[in-house]
Amino acid sequence: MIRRWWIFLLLLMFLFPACQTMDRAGDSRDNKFILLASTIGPIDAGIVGALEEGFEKETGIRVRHVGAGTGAALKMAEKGQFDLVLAHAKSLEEKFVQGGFGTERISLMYNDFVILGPASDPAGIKGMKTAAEALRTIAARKATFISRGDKSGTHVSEMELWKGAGIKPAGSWYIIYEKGSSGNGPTLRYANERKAYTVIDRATYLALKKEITLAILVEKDEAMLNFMSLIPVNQAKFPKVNRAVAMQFIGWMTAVDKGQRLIRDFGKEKYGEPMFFPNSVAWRKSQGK
Amino acid sequence: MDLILEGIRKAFYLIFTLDREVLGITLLSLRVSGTATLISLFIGITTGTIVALTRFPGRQLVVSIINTGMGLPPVVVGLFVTIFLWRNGPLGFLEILYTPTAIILAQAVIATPIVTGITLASIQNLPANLRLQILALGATRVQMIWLLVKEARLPLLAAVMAGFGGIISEVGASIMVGGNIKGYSRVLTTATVMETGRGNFDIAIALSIILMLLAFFVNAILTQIQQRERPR
Repeated sequence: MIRRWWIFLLLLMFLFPACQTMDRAGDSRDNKFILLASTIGPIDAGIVGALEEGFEKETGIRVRHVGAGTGAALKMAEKGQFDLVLAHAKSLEEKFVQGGFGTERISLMYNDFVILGPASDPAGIKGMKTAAEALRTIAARKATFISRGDKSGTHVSEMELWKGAGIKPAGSWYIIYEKGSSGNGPTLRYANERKAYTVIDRATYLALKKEITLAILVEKDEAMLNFMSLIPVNQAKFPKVNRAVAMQFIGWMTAVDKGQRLIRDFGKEKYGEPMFFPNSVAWRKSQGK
Repeated sequence: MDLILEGIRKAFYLIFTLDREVLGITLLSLRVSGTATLISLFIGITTGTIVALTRFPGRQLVVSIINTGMGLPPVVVGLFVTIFLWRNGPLGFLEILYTPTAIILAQAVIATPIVTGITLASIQNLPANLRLQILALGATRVQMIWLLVKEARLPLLAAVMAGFGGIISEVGASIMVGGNIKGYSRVLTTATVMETGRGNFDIAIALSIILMLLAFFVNAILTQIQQRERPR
């Protein structure tokens, strides 16, 4: 009796490490890998995973990513912990490159921000042509507005839109979502609960469209385009950074017939419209722009 | 209520159709937490036995530290393991941050004090004279320790269950050191957090049900083993 369960336990014990070593064998095959710090939006939308998967299939190189707001992602990269950053806040990115932490900004893709609000539109901004006009109206009417408020790319973009409108938003109508750093999805959901206005990226809106009642009120303003760039971390500053492999991944993602095509088609099937738009230099050339 | 029923329906759908992604996540959870438990057993039982059977200055302090460690918050472990595994960190050369191996490491750190503490308590709870008697019967030191551990095997199985239960359900450390990467380092708990954040409550509920079933079956097997032989 005793012996039997000891044998069973031993079996159990050997089973787990056995699985483990199998996995190790798999790991050692591709001892090359890339560490990517990415803004949360495209991870949640699934496009980061799709790009990584496509790249791994072709090269066998695994990309390990971690999600954080653009501000936080850049901050971690400033300590040399990553090979590559995917960010979407021009001003922060430029500061990162100027500080010598990154070598350059490489255009990858963009999506756009939209101004969402209750379908009843109490502030009456529907159909306005510019974000500036709409935000001025929201502020003037003191309509409840939710901000992500966490220095993420989304928040920085929102602040830039306010700046463009010439307004410093403050007051009881301007609510900073305290859990904003958990991402755009939760922020949008919160705005939906509060029946408030908010600025959010289209990909997040499309992903949650079915379960929220907020509607797009203002869109397609040039000022609301949300450009995402890749920044390789400076190897001269951090010798442990694996620049060669990071550049290989960047090359793959920006290539017209590889990453860019994947970006163009991503989400079309599920949502009926694309979530992201390819924007690499090579892609723009191929489009004759 | 509808949401919960829908979640349960979805859970069974995912289980019976052997959804590849969910299956992968489940097996990874099991493998990661199983391996971490195993590591914690080796370290925990050894340490616990040594501390239980020896007397040395500062022992009280060590016991207090172990007992405190039994309640280590996973996020704290996650934070420190992340910093250690960073490129410039002391263990950066391992290059395992954001991999399943990193999760195993963090979970082993969480489970080890639990196993150590329970081992310590159960060995200490053995009748004090048992040790003398075993030695008097001519056993060597190693044989004596082996017999004591064997004698304490029922509470030790409780240590296995507590350790495994603690880490299979842990999310803070897994998400910090594993990164929740799809098809690579995503485990049941991190997937549940993510799906909840996305508002896919049905899938989130389904994943939690799978998690609970998994924990239940593992514990049922261990309990079966433990209860088969009643303590005399």
